[in-house]
This record gives sequence, structure tokens and C-alpha cells, in this order.
Amino acid sequence: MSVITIEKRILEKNDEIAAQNRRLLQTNHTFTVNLLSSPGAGKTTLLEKTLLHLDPLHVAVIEGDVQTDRDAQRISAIGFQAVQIITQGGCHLDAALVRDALNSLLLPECRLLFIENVGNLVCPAAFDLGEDCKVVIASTTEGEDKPIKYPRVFREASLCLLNKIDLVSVLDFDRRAFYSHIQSVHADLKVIEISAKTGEGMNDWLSWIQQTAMQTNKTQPC
Amino acid sequence: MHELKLAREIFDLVDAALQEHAMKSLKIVHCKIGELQPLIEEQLQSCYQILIENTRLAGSCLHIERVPAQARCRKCGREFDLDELHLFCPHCQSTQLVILSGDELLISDLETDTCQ
Repeated sequence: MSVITIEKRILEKNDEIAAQNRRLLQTNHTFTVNLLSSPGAGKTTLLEKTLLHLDPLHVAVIEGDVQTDRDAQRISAIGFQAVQIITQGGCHLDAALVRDALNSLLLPECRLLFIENVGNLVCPAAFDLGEDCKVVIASTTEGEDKPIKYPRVFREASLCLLNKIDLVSVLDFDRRAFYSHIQSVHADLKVIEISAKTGEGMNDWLSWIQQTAMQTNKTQPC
Repeated sequence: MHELKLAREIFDLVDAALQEHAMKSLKIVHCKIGELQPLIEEQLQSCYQILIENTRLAGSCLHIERVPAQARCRKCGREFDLDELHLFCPHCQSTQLVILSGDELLISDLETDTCQ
């Protein structure tokens, strides 16, 4: 019997491609946000409403879904560059899928890129795509315990958007419990309460994008 | 179900290592996976077994060692076992932590009967 030590990172290939994506996006001064949530948290609607405040010449979207290009169609319909990745059963985006999508985008003028990941709070958190930051979207309709059920994605996120805040008064959503759970798994995580429907919180979200883009030495065209 | 993706990556890395080290047979692939990694070991094993059928890796299996999560407090400097649901220092309550272990996703060793 013999033992050979190899010490290889299992996601080494993904991480190398993610680093290439990151270099490409940095060279291009494109601030890139990886949006993560469970299915139905309202990612696409929130993205549509966000884009209405941004310049179509300088903002693009990569959509990730298990099936259909419906989300990319929604984004294209309001005049923004959008590329759809259909994972055909895959539960997450990986760096190679994003690299291929980047090849389909007109990047030179793009200063802000949203990557809408597949709706899933487990698997997408494990894969670096080359983004500048992860933003997790929770919603009041999902209940207050998402942060402790899926701690990793909340731990890795730079921002949490608590969506559908307009429904908080008609749901039994326990705000105090939600913030207590956030405190447990990522005490410094900033939370913005937002409603894609009413526009509440939108200005805070747009300001956060602008400030964070500037902190990463990238200009942002809000 | 990112276990399938991980199994594919393990397969490719091990297959390349077999070639590189001119290994004739393979018994065990030793993996170190941190406790903070959300994955189901049985699913990873099942995916691996399906992928190695009729390949030169056939007959091998994964041995998975879960690495405990540990952290050091930036404020008081103490080290402690990390509970993912309570990410703060149990001694001084600071949330400024350095995670020392628990995020690993590694193939550490390959065990074989013989080596050319």
C-alpha cells in the first residue's frame, strides 16, 4: 500500500476561472453583484425596478435559471443587455458558465453587472463567480428564520435586502426575530428593508450600490 | 445538489493525479471537508460511485474527514470551536473573527495498493 499526498482544492478549476472573470471585470471597471435568494423572493422584479433608475448603456444582467429564458426577456424588454444562462437542472451558476456569458456581453461600456443566480440558498454560495460582492435577498413572505436555516449565504453576503416589506403588516413576520437571527450569523451584515412594489428602500439600495462600487475603485453610473 | 459538481471535480483531479504519478490502482481518495461546507456526504459518495463506473478509478471510494470549524477572536485573541449559528466570540462577544478552519474542500491523499 502506498499513499500519495496531493493536497488539491476540489474547486480549484472553478476558482481559477473565477479569478480570470474577476480580472476581466476589474480591467473593465465593471462592478459586479451576485444576487442570491430562494425561489420566489422577488429577485427579478426587484432587479427590474432597480434597473428603471439606471442607465441601459452602462448596466447589464446575467440571468441564471434551471429552465426558460423568461427572466432575460423581462430584462431585455426594458432595454437592458441581458444574457440568459439555462443550467438545465443545475442548481447553481459556476464560474465557467459566467465566463461564457461574459463573452456574449458587450462589456466595454458596462460599469455595473448584476448576476441573478439560480433561486437556491445552498449551492450558489459555494461557487465564486468572480463577482465583487454577494447580495442576499430575503423576503417577508418566507418567514424570519432564513438566516439561521441557510447561514452560509448570509455569512458571505455583503448586504441583505429584506424584500416585500410592504406586506409586513399583513403577515406574521417577526422583525425582531429576523434581526436577531442576522445578529447571530453575521452581526455586521447591513440590511435594507425594501419593496419592489412600493419603491420603499430603493434609494438606500441604489446608494449602497454606488458607495460600494466606489469603495472597490469602480465608478458606478446611477 | 452541488455534490454532483463536486464529484465531477474530484474525478477530474484524481484522474489527472493517477496519470501524473503513474499509479496503477486506486483504493481510497481522502478528502477533507470543513464543517461549514453545506453538503451531504452520502450524495457525494453516490455521485462519485456513478462517475467512476467503467473508468480506471473504478473500485475506489471516498474517505471524507469533516474538519471542525474553529475561529480566533480579533479582539481578545482567543481561539474556540465555531458554531455557525452563533458567529461571535464566546469569551468577549466580539463579532470580529478570523475563521481558522471549517471551510475546507480538499483532496488530501490518494491511497493505492501499488505504485509504479
